[in-house]
Amino acid sequence: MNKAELKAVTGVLDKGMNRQLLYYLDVCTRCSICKDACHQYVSTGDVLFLPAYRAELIRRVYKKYFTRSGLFLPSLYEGREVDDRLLDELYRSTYACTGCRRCMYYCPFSIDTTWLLGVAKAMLIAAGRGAQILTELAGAAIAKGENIDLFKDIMLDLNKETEKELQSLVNDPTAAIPIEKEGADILYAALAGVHSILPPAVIFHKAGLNWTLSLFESSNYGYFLGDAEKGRIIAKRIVDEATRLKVKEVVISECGHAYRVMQYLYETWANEKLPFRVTAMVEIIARLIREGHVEIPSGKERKLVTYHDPCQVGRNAGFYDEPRYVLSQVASNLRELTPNREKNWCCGGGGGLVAQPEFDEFRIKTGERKAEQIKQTRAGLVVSPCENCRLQIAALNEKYDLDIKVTGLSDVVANQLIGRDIATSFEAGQAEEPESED
Amino acid sequence: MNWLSFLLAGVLVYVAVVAFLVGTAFRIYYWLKVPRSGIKLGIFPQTHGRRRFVQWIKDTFLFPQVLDVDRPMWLFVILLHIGGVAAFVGHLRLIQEFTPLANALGKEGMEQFSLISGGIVGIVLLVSVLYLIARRFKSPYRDISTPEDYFLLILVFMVLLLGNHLRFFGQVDVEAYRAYVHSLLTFSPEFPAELAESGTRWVLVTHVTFSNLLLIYLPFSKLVHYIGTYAVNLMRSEAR
Amino acid sequence: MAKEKAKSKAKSKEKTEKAKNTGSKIDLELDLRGLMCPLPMVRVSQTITKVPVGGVIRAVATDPGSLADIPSWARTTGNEVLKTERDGKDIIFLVKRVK
Repeated sequence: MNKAELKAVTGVLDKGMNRQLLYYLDVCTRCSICKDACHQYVSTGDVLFLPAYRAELIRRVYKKYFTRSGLFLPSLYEGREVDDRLLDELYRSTYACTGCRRCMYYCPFSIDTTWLLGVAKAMLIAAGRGAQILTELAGAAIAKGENIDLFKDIMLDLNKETEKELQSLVNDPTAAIPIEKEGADILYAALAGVHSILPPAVIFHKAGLNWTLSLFESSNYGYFLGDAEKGRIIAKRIVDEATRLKVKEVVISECGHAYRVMQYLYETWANEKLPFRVTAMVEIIARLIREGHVEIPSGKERKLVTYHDPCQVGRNAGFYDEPRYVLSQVASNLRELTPNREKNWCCGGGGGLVAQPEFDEFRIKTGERKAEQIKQTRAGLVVSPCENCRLQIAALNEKYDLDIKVTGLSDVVANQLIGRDIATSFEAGQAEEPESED
Repeated sequence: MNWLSFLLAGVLVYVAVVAFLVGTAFRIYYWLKVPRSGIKLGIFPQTHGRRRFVQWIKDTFLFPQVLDVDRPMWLFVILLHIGGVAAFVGHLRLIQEFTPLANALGKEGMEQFSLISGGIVGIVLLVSVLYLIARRFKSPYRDISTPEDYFLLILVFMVLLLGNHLRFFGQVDVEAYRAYVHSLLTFSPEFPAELAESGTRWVLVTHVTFSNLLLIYLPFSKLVHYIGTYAVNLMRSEAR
Repeated sequence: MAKEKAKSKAKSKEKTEKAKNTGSKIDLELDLRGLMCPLPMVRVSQTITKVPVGGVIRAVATDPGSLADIPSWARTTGNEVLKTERDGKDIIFLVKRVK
């Protein structure tokens, strides 16, 4: 590593320094109480995944280059040079983190490890070592935003088909999935795929909402990558669309980090105030039911159902009661995971891990706690309002033989609204080929 | 006082107190100088208003979540901190006798009380610190420990060991210590005859020396959490 | 369910023929059906290094997100999508490795 590269990497700590980060660098006593909080450390026993050690890697660089005591006595702090070995360690410990912030809950100093890892990611990016797949995914999302006109026609075509499916599901030929509707009250930012569009569309239709579907997916790989600038540009696609259409509210699909980005990070990243309200899908479903906009037909599911609190929906956004309230409307037999709510274990797939094949084996291994928790409930259906969690739990289902189905909150509600079994999947082509449904 | 005692148990005491106060102020200044990110890092569930204040105090002084994951650690850490405060308060008696208590207990009774309470605190502190030291040598704690961790533990251990030595084996009357402390307060450090002629003097000088070193290093070490913990634990409940 | 799978398998065979008739030489076939966003793009990205520069991957996906994702990915990574076509539920991409 030459001088200029080194300067670029350490410069991140210098230019990126903020008060929160400095507090965290200064107060940690390495008591390592966090070791029992992290599912990755618990299942691997590898110190690299111990939250305090992940932070310690950054601290050792900071001590070495930026503190007087570390300059004079680097060995007292085990101050470390930025070299390939350090960057390798940093990469493995940082990009493996799912950002669940369970360690922050247990830390006696409430240290947010992800905040420190944010800097580590920025350092890795400066060293040209940002996670490759995440870089490509973020790049693709930005390119889609820049060239949206190229894709618009095909997306509108596709939407016509989804709309037909909606009409058949709700048995109403006027049911619509509006796109680019100016003056709509709500802009719904889905994920790519009908499974994320149809269930909310059913609910919104039944509630008679004036809504429109975003051209852009809510997920944000710039955030997972740890590149705030890319994250900002990706989120801005939706912000611009919402501003152009003059909507009052942007509803984020059942995708944990997407809500966090829009609600908690975007305004600081972009240094602007959002001219609309940001709502999570779980929040709006609860609101629509509570306020009587949708009426849930009777005949609740009686089979055992369990709920997994996604970290970005629970611990990091505070929606604990809303999803439980909603579930209680459609299922009468909810059995909680132990522990749950703010103490819930991470599923192991967050932080963009499910998108990175290099972590496939690792996330299955580190999901053992979650698998165990689910097994203990004996529930056959796991509901979780986060795409990452669902993909991960579905993978755990296969590897640990859990014999479960995984679904979203809007899925179970939409199914109940149209009189289907609440565990039915929303897949493309159901309306076209009803005979394949047996 | 010979020159070495004068240096270590006299001059160095002033240096330590000044370093501690200036160092603490410097650390706070340095923190506040760095711009704050606008991103709110609180976790949920969140509390507001008066409940947030109560939560903050609880998180800072009791960190109840730790009970879920590491009970022995919680116990010894709490004991160490309470013991530290108790020891500090006990030492104040050397500046000014706790008159109401002394009146109630009588001179003999006060000595007795001081011996027992001070003795218990000293032992509890020593045991707690030994626990922390032993824990450091175990994996994974050992794997993430730095020399700073051991250095601080050794400093604290030495202060406690020598303090306990003074308490249990010292043959010197409280009045002599009080005279020494008063000499420090009047900026003319001196050992009274009783102390100067006793072998205990060297234990005292070493006890004071290690305390000075600890005090000097405190604001610049990881133990800066004595002021930092309030800020970080407040960030825990920071709402958007 | 089984019936459906068999049917789509038969369909895909037909399509392979069709794609071959377009004239492009296919170096690698990639079945991404059933995978959800962002995995089709991830698989293409991972597989592209397995064909030589100038080589072509034929990828069949069902995830509608891939319609924008894969061409956008190609743009940022300097590769090329020769063709995108839809056949029922299937979306077929011909991706050429450029570098």
